[in-house]
Amino acid sequence: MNRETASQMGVNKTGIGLSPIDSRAMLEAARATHTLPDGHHYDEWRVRWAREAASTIIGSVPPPSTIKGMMKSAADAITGKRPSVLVDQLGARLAFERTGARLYEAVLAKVDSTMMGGAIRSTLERFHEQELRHFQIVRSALQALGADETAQTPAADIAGVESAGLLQVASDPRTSALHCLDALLTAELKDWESWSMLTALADSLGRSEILPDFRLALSEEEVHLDTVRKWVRGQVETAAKRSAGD
Amino acid sequence: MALDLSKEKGIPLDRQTFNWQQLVNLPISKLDADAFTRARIILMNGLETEAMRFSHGLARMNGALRLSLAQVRRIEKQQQTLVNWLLPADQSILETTIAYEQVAVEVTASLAMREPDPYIKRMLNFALLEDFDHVYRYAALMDRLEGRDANNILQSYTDIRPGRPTADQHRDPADDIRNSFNRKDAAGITKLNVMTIVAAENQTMDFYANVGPLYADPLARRLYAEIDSIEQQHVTHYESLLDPNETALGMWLLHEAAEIYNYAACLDEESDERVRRIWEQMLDWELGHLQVAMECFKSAEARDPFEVIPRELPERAPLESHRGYINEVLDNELNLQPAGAQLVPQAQVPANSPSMAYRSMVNGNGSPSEIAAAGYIWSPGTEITARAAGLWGTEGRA
Repeated sequence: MNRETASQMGVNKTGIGLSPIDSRAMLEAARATHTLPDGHHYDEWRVRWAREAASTIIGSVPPPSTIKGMMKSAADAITGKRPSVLVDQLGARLAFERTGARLYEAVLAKVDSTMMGGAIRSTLERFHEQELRHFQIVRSALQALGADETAQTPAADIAGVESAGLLQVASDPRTSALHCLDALLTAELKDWESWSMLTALADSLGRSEILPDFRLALSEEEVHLDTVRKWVRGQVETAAKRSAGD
Repeated sequence: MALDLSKEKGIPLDRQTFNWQQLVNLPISKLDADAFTRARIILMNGLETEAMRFSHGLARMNGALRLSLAQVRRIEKQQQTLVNWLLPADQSILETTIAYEQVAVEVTASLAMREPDPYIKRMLNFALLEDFDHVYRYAALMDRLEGRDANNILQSYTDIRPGRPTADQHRDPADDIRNSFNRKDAAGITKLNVMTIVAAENQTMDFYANVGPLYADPLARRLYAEIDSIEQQHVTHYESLLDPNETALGMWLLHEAAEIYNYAACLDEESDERVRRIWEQMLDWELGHLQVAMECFKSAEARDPFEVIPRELPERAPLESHRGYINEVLDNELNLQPAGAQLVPQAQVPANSPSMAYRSMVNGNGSPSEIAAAGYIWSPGTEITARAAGLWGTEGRA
């Protein structure tokens, strides 16, 4: 058994099962707790705070950075479209693909440190390069809109908060290849969903010039998701069988 | 107009009230706030934490002052919360780190520009070039670990390129101690500049020491460890500029005056109206704290507090992009290293310098800052931008 293939049994101290006497004493102490009469509960406060912050935003989408972009933006406004929504979502994709490329690099390093490799490695490399292509597709779409692709949009910022844990998993030298592939699966689930939404959004806004590239990215993301999902399932099943035989 | 500290009484301590809602305000926007609003928040957090650190230290050694110190310290604690909690949660640790280094660079430059004592100015410039290098190292790490662009935080005010290489900043303690100014003839602004920079560096050291282990990546952990160690050197370097003969109560006066010096500058510079009102309130509170400290000083030492602090508050140079000044210092002072309390060109550092031996020891198994930034050249939108274009062309097609 090793770290890469099995969930090892050991001296885990987090549950109450290992401390029957102490946990009984704790339960008795907890039962003796007197709480104050019902006041406002956390849930009610949450609603109140969210209402109080209703006029505050995480941040804004920057205005177009080129004359062409400003004119396009003005023309869209006349037809009732809000280009800032597309720019915000493209900004999120750009950030996610960029971080995704770094996530792939961390997973590749993990795979290189194990006996895994071979077919998985070459596939990971291909996917990594495709993530870079997707990044470039989004960047080129943002440039065509006259948007500043170096800006962090609100959706990009939030995407960064959402995916912070995935990088922590992949960059931790103590995690297994399976842990990292599982993090990658979470990323690919989100990636596929976002490309799917973005393609539909571009379609509904009549952005036919960017649709072929977006559809290409979506089809590649489908392959990424399908492949990583199979890897994770395969790894878990193989590890479970090996563990049973130990 | 400069404040006259003999006349400005501020708000008395017993009228400095608060509740949790007032202390924990909605944070600024990471994306929309000006980088210098964020920088002022970080700087003032540093001043407040320094005020508490000093006050606790003094209280442990002086029974008579304990109650007065505790009363002022209670408010300093709440001020620190009010100010530091203005930072938003979507600002990651590494992004906050980039902001801390921007503070170190731009605050040091703004202090150095108006510093009248040439020796102190040289020492400010010396550490400025080291913090400048930290921006570059952390920016490279954030790009390569997370795929994020440090300029989203720096907002093009501060450059991302090497300064004095971090790997060359490690020194023996004997080379970290400087000559102090003389409390009797030093200019008021000199005293306040040194107090300010000690506070900023000390909080940076503490921040890195606490957040470094929150990263999983071994290089991130080591880079934080390495730069945290430099920040301790900087605290040692700067605090040794303070006159060790200053009395404890004199030091208390200087702490309060340094807070006033910086809150007054924040109030002058601030572009965010909500944050500006906070600076105004904090300034009034600090003026109230100075009254308490002056009363304690007068009763214990029976002399004029303005023998220690300036009667007329000097004005700090604004916190803004000091690219021109920094480039000049980079051109002229990059090659310096300390030999004892003096700075000399690197080539004149004796071969048997204890710092050379120390540097060889800590960098013996590789330097985290060199690994993090190997071959790194900042470009807008991160390294990935150039790589993706190289691989797939500008349209994303091979």
